[in-house]
Amino acid sequence: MQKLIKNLQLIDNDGWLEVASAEEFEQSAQPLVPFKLLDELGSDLLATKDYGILFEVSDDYEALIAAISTQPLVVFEFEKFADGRPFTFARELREYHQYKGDIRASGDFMPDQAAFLYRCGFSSLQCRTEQDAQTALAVKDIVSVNYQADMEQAEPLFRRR
Amino acid sequence: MYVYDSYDQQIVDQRVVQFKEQTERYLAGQLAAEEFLPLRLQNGLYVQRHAPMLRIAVPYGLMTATQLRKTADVSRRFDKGYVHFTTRQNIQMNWPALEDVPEILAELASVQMHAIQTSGNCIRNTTTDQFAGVVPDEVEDPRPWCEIIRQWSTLHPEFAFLPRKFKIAVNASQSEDRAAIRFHDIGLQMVKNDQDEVGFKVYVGGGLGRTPLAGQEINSFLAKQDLITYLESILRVYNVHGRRDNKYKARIKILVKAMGVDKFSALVDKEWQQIRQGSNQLTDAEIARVKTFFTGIHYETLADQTEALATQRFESAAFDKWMARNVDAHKQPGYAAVTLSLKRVGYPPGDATAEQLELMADLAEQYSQGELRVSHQQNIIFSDVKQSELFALWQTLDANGLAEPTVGTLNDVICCPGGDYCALANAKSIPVAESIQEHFSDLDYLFDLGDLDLNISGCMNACGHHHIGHIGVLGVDKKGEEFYQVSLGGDSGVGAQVGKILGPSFSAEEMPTVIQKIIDVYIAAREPEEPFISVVNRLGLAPFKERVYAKAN
Repeated sequence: MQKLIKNLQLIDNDGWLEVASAEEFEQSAQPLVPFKLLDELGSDLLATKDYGILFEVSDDYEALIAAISTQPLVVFEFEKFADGRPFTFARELREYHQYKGDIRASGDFMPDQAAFLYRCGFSSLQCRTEQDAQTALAVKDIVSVNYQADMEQAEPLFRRR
Repeated sequence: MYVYDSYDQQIVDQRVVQFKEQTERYLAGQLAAEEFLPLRLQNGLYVQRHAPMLRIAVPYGLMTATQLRKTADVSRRFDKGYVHFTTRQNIQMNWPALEDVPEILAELASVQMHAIQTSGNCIRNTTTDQFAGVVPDEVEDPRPWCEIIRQWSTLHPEFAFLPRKFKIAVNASQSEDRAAIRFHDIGLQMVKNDQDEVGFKVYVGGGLGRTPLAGQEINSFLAKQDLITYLESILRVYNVHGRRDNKYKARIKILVKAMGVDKFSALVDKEWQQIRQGSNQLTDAEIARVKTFFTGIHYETLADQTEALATQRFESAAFDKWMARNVDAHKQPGYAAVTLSLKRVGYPPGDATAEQLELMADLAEQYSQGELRVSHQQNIIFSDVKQSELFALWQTLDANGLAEPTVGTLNDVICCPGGDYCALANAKSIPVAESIQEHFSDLDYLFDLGDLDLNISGCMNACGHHHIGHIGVLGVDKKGEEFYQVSLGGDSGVGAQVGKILGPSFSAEEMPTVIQKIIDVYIAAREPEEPFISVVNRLGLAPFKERVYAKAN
């Protein structure tokens, strides 16, 4: 099942695996750590390898900012497609905190949200199904001109027209 | 009138393609109904009681005759040949087929119209004073600012899935507020500071619905180049902190109230300091570019026609009444702003047939330079009529049922479509409006009552703005029967206040008598020339309650 869109390509996965304990973290080459588990693992263990952070909308965003440094991946898990908080979270991570790693959307988001996700700084999409992933790629560029400054276009249209 | 360049046109055209693709996927069963829902709502498409309802955007209420003709054409080809003008200056069609909507949108796009963000949990149409640009006492024309906000908010990637809908209104008059800015999520009042610079006083957290609240000031002077970055900061705080667990507590007004305006304001400032100097800071070039579109009306050097009009008014009592209620002052000598009433007794308030739309388009070209506006009182405005042509215009309007001389009176009812059309409504609103209009059909009597806002909503969603009518009427459902709750003292203007409920509700049949009793108390108590709202403020509800609920002998 190819349902991950990364670098605008459809792939099976890129190796990140969600872990549920310190033991699993130690065994995994590319552990994806739920945000709530970070404290339990502790900074010594976390310092031993690169890891990604899996953030749910109900987690503490301020604490995420404090925890972010050079992690290569942050995954925002959509609880419901109608809950648009991750759009602002991703945007602030890029804009205020100069986060350069991969920001991934996961969970219950719609392929029709792909364009807005990219514009807000998401860089990979873990879609619900392969069909969703194909739809996301097919529809994301239908609207190709935008008024606002965003993460794909640093200047708003009024500075370019 | 803002005119699209190739970018604006491309955005609207591509949005049509996008919605067509989404509709096709839905009809093919490839897009679940619950996922199509937010997508269609963001294009103004509701599924309603009898059929889908399509809400078409009229940015800040301004239209051209060409756009009005296209609206008439679309309503005839795809609907039942009439439309409804809403309290947010938009247009609704109540009977389009879902399959036809992409084609309707393509037709609208051909005249620079669209339905983008007229519904859904996103930033809606920005509204303003229907007399913007011609008001003698305005700080400056607010419409370029509405257009700047329109562009910023259109397909904004971050704010398409907010906790709830979000409405912005701008006012520039220094003495009146015809845009009800204190009852919007964000209200912007244009002001001048000590250095004579123009900026905005910012109110946040106003709204109607289940918890009516007047907005609170969070910035006494926002410099104009900071408008977009500041709006973006407010929206960011709302998107992250607004409640999402209960749709009735999800509007920004609940957040501001719960958090306190000081804490909310501090959070906004914290965001703002980080983006204030960013690329979204407005440039003088852009402000100047947008402003050029609103100076296209060419005024001749004319003198006021005071004497000629006085003679015409003396000779025709009907023209005199119309002049008194439906014609407003203009900043330009020799011109006037005319309100075409869509409140004829026996017709749903705010409705117009395709034939009326086409007639209004013709008259707008003949008398008002081809532009017209929609007011939040659901009437149509010709903003630039020569005083010397008022009499001729009146004759044509009168012959076509568009000159009811009742603007601003009790019979200029603001009314939602109600239970006759709307799936959300608890009760019908149009028949109640009609029965009251019929009861108060004596024009001299109406004139004597003076300015009086009667607002009727068919449910708590308050599309008829019942909370801010001097007299407000709310339809409620009691065990399957329709009843009407009356409130007094609401004010949408600078006195911004929410009306207070009079007491137990009434049946539809009782309503005209109830309103009559309220009016009787007013007439008995008023000082010479004292308006209704002032008497309610002075006396409180007690004498009104006493009369309305008095036991019959």
